[in-house]
Amino acid sequence: MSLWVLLSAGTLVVFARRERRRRALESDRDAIRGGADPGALAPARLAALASDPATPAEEAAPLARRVLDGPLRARIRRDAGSARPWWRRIAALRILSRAGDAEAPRRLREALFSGHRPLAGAAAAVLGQDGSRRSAEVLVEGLVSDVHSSSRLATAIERNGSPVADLLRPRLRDSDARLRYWAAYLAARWPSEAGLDAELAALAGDPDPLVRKAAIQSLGALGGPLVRDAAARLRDDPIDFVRSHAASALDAQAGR
Amino acid sequence: MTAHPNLYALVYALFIVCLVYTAVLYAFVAFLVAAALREARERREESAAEDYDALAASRFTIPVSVVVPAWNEEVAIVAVVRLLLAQNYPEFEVIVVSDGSTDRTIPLLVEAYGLEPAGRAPREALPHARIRTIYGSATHPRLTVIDKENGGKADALNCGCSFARYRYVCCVDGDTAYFPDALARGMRPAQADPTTVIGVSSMFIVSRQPETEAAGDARGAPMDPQWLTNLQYLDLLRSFLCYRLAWSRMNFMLCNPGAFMIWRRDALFEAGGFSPDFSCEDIEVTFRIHERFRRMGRPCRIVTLPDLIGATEGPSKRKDLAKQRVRWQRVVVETVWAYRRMLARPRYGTVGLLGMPYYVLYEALAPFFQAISVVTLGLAIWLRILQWPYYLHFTGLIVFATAIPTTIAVYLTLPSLRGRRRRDVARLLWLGPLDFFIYRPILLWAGVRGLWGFLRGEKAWGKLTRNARTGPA
Repeated sequence: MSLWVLLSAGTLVVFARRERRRRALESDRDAIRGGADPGALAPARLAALASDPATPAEEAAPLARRVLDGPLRARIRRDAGSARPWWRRIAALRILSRAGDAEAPRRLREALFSGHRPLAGAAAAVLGQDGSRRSAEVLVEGLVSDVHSSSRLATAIERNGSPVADLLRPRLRDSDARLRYWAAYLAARWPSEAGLDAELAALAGDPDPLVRKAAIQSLGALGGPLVRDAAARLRDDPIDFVRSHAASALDAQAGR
Repeated sequence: MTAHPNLYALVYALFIVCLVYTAVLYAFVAFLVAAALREARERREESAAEDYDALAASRFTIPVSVVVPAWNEEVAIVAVVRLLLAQNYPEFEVIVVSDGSTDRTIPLLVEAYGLEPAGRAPREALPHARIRTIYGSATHPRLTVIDKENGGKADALNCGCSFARYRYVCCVDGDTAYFPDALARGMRPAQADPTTVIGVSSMFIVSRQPETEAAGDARGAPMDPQWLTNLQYLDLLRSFLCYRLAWSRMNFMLCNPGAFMIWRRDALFEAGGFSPDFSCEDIEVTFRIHERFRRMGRPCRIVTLPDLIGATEGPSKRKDLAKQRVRWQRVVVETVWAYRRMLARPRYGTVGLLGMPYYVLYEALAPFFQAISVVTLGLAIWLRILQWPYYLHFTGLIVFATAIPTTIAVYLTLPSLRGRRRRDVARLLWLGPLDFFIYRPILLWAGVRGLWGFLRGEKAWGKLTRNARTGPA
């Protein structure tokens, strides 16, 4: 009975503490939004705020820079390299990334290539939110090396927003169908790339149906004179989802 | 006592059997709880690190077909479908299958969503009863409603899955309401590892009126004050957070529950879909998929998450609760019996070496041992050999030992209770020991009845009476 009483009391205390901490974090965030000086916060609370995923990136950036100028600098850098458990490492990496620290992409790359799935997934999310060209390069490298779920990495590449057509365009001709597929799928975001529509139209004859689907999907999104011919060819494709995307591309073209 | 020497020996032997059974059970539970504590933390941190905004906006997010079997669900179906259509997920469809409903399920859906007959062909067919009409909605293009002849829940699920277009199917209940981020949270493991994750489930709350609980994502609202509902919630917490999370960590998650079961479509179809030959479809299909993948030596993971994704309707009367649990017990025994070949076979990995022994001893045969302990107690009282002080001490020990996993389950669910009142958490905690006196006897009776039903070959589903609604959702 005493063990049960102890555990129950402990659970209530933990609940109360977590609620208090949550409210404190929210009130700190509101105070800073209201113009309060972040320097007045204890370093640990400032770090918690800077690494909290709920703090918008633009608000977190000055806080993260302040953390890296403060007494926690050495610990954050150490944690970003090797901290355990992995979520401490990600919190540190998020601070480095939000502060725009030069070390961040290299450290995030280590995490992405670590082979530890949760760490790699979290690193991909941070690289996606980062918005820098160097982070986008790391993500493309991860996609090419197949270090994590391709759909997650593609999501992060789009979220990052940096132009990476120069890195992915050669992959349209890769011998690996997975890479042709992802390059073709991501190509819808590069409307200003000269000659891209011709490369995508050529992929409409790819032996892999997923590549054909991605090619016609992106070609349909980009538009242009080559859509009609490629889509007409794929309208009789033996695979149903390719036919369906060809029809959508034709509809989109007709609506332009 | 001298008049019954053999009975005395029997009582002593039965007492030792029950004691050993209980001691081994608690040792195993302690092991599971330790694994669950670690797993819950890891999964929560993964969820916290997730960029849900990016997933919700991304065209690369793996699309999902949501299948809702509904048989006479007029009470909540419109609200449940509305909540499903409001999922914050980039690409999904909702397929409602009315399984020969005789109430106003179809007319209400037609009226609420402007349904009109539409031609749609199944992508791949699993066996199911004849379809009467397929409806589409001009206002909600993601919604398809299929009106078919009655064939049972498994049949309705097979029908819905046959029309599913996407790579993953999420089978849900027509009486369960989902929070707006249910799909995003549930699909997280599949997004991260679609090659091996073939099944996912997550936590839900038990409520008498789930659509009200889920409407507006009221995760911080006061808890349902009814004690039977709270005890069912505690049971669910224990089951998901202390046991299933641990099973998931050790890759022997043997029940992807019907209220929210995500399956990779190819795995489900390869296994032959849902079987109508069992009293309940969810546990059997999980066993079958495990059996198939492991026999063929193919990697697979069926994952349970600690995230709260919705609210399901729990019976508000003891009679209905017992009826539900009789069926659950029966299907556990049916399934364990059907897949007994996996027991203690290293070929089936942790499923054969840990999952099956656990299921046989602590799920299928639990009512048998519990009944023995009650009989032993009765005999001991009758023979006047029960030493009351020792018995009361022992009962106290069992009551609180049983309450400890419940307390740990409440601890593990604290992140989901964020914003709730402290007294709601306290209520769940103090109900822990009372569970032994109020809730366990119902489970014991239902367990024995279910075991007996299995031996008699019963199969009846027994739809529960829906709780009266106190207001609009």
